[in-house]
Formats: sequence, structure tokens, C-alpha cells
Amino acid sequence: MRTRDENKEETIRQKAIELFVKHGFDGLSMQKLAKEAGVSPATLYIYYKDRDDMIVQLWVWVMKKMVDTTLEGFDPGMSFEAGLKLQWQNRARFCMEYPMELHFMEQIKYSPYHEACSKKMDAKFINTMGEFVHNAIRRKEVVKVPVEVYWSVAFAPLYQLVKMHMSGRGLRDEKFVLDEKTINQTFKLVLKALKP
Amino acid sequence: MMETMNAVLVFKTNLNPSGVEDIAMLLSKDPRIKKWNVDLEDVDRILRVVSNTLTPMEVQHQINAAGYLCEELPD
Repeated sequence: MRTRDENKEETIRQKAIELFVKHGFDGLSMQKLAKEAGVSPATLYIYYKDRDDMIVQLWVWVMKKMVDTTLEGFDPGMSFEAGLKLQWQNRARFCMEYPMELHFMEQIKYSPYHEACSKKMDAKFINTMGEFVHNAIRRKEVVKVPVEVYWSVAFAPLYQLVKMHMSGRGLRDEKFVLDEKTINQTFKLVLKALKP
Repeated sequence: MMETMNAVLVFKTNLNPSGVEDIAMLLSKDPRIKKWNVDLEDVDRILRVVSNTLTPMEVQHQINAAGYLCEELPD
């Protein structure tokens, strides 16, 4: 009887994400992955029903990593400034530590897999984030705006800076490194924008 | 997930879409099979069966009897 092996499963996940990021959807066949990961195709089918099932399961796994990192030390009762600052630090850390995984998530977002994946979104995470913002609105620390507006102001500036950092280039193609000073400068502007 | 409690049997076949329909009648009414699927996108047309009682040989015989190739894939 075949059993699951955590280490083997981890190697398979890493290789799958790597192949996917390097060569896209077509680069990730079960046969190619088996060769790359040094396992037999039969082993892959112990973990996954087929390629589509594997892609969704990979997404769930990366999402869990993202959620765990983002919520480290976080409490929805925190003051808005302290809570958002921690969110920025945690989110930036996830992006730097898991660049491949981040790329994978982005590719899924603009693919036909997006729908199947978003159904598996962690409700606890969404609720925690919502609770945090609603607490802050109640305490009059944040303006009440539609969630898309809130997210775009609260997090998109950070993700844009992270993207530039990862490409190593700024807007005029000069070298760009995201340092503490730049983060703090941007963070202050974001706080100001969200004040009631 | 519950599936980890069961054995997953993996076979290489020559099934095509109509072949899947043929074997669907056999496999779906077998109470010993918890779940099954065929990955037609894979070159080996993988048949995957989840069962904690069936042996690979038993599955192989069923598929062969329906007129299709089926051999267990080694780990």
C-alpha cells in the first residue's frame, strides 16, 4: 500500500511551482514534473487526481503560507497604525522569502484556474482582515470607503514597491532597492490618506 | 483528507473518451471503489482508483475484460 511522504510531497510542490513559473501552464505536465522531481508518475497521482487538481492544491498550499506569514503576531484588535505596519512587514517578508510562490499566485489570478482557486480562499483570513478594518473605522482611525478602495490605498503601494524591488529597477530603469526608509515614507503617506 | 486512509492505485491505460464511458459503468457501480478518475490529458491516460480493498490485479482484469489495456504503474 502506498502512503504519503511529507518530504517527497514538499519536493514535488517546489518543482511544480518552479516549472510552472519558468514555462507556464504547458510546461507543467505530470510526466515532466515526475522527471524533474525524480519520482515516478504513479507517485504524483497518489497526491493529485490530475493536473488541474494539482494546480488548485498548490494554490491552497501557497495561500496557507501567505496567510500564516501575514497573520504572524497580528491581532484584529490592534490600533490601525500598529496593525497595518505589521501587515506591511509580514506581507513584504512573504514576497521576499517566496518570490516563486508569489509569481505563481499572480499567474493563477489571470488564468482560468482563478475561479476554482478562489472558492478555496481561507474565510478566516478574510474575516480577520475585515474585523481589523471595522474596529479601526469604529474608533474613527480610518475612513469608511468600499473595500476595493481601502485595499488599493492600504496595500497596493506596498506591493508596487515590492515589485520594483524584485525587478531591481525603478521607473527610469535605474537601480532600485526597497529599504526601511522608503517603506516608512510610503507608509506615512498611506496612513495620512486613510485618516478620516 | 480521508483519502489518505485509502490506497490509491495508479494504472497506465489506452482509454479514450468513449472508453471512459465504458468503464464508468463498471467502476461506478463497484461498492469497493471510493473514487476513480481518468486523466486523458496525460500521455499514459492514467486511471486512478481509490479503494482500500481492491488489489491492482482485480482492477486490471476488469479493465482488460472491457477491452482496454491497463497495467499498474510502479512507484
